[in-house]
Amino acid sequence: MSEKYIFLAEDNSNDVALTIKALNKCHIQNRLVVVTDGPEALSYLLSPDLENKPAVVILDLKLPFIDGFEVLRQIRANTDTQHLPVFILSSSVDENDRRKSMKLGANGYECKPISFNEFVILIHRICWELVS
Amino acid sequence: MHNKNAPILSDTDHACCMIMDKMSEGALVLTDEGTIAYCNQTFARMLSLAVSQVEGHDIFCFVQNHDGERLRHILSQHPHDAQIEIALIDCELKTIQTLFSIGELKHGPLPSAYVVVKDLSVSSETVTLEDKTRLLAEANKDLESFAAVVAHDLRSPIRHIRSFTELLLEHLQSAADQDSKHYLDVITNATTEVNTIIDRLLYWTSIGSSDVYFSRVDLNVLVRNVVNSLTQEAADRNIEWDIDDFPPVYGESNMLQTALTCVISNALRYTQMQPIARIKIANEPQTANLSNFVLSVKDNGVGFAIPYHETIYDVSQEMHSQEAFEGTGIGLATVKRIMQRHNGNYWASSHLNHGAMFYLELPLYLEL
Repeated sequence: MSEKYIFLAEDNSNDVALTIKALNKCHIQNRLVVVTDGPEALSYLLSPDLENKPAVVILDLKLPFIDGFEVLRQIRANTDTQHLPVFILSSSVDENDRRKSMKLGANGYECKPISFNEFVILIHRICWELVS
Repeated sequence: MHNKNAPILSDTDHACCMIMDKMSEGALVLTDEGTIAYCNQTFARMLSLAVSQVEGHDIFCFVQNHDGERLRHILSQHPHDAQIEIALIDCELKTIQTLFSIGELKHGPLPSAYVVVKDLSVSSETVTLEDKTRLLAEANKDLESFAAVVAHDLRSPIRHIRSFTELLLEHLQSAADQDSKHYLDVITNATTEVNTIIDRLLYWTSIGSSDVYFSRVDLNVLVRNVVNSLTQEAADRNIEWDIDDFPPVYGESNMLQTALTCVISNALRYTQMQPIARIKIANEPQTANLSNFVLSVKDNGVGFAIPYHETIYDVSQEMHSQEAFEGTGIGLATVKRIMQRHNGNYWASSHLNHGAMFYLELPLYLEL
């Protein structure tokens, strides 16, 4: 059985560092694959050579060049990736964005909390399948 | 002053010339072929020339080629009253956008036309109030969009400061002495405050957003929602509610619920010291403007003196104030803005120790 891993699209290195620390806090030891922009996310996830798909996809909404919405849309449009669990993360809560995320088929739309301790709880919830 | 070769003018004409030289617009008399028989000082000045350098010449010398053809065509039609935009060229070859108002002159021995020349580059005194209002609204929109972008961008660094402070605290653990812990606490609290200010700023800008959808709103439902949730929060208090029935209004229900929450919880707060808090939410009779109605919230609390009340409209104070209206997330200046967005109004009155009255004026939902 292929290993389960987490896929993160996030352009801010501090937020990547916080995600890694949060995963450690949750005792999630799975591999984390990180890309820093929309096109990279799409070329990774939609690649026909990708045999082992991620267990969870976490997308920052504000990504360079192609935003999280567009990445989500394309993930859902592709038969190989349409069933992947995808979570959208944003710096602010915006009801319009939330509605749009759900309409595009996200499994969740979450606001990145300013507190690290709350972020750990959020990561725990998103990646609960992987928590040992 | 005037060209000797120009047609001879009578005394009355001379008097008229003096008046015409005082005009803010240029004035011309043209012959059938377009020769300038007469021009006033203003026109000559437009070209940075003296009158004597202009009279006797063809108007086409001072007009851009393309416009010259159009002008020639119009003049040949002997118009009674025509207007045409003409680009003049001055003596330094600079272009001046003007409006030519042309009319036939029948009194002279030769067919001719008079022209009044208005300089379009000079700002008009007739900028309408409508224009000014529109420009102001556009400027405000720009500022709001900018504020929203800045506020959103501030979230990330605030998050990083807060999160890494928590990580630092955890990292130091027992190595952190009392002072260190205290300093880190201060930093943590400051980030919470900044985050709250960002929330308020973003909410403020969202009120003016064009994304807002107005419809029929059942005020009774909103009022009861607010009263129910506030009553739950203040379960330990003795509160008497007196609530009227309200007509439907035309508005946006989330904003209105927020405004009601602020005003009614305000009433609860000001009545904290009373053994029994009495809050009346009334439907006020409206005689002046029959398409609006007024909802009032009256409490039997400590009230406030009016001069203090004027400061609570200070938005900048509100953004920073910690003790003002905690839990409502917004303050009275935001309530006022919500009312204005609804083309309504908001005001308050009070006397110290005689409670306070808050009024919300809203447009009725009118069945078509």
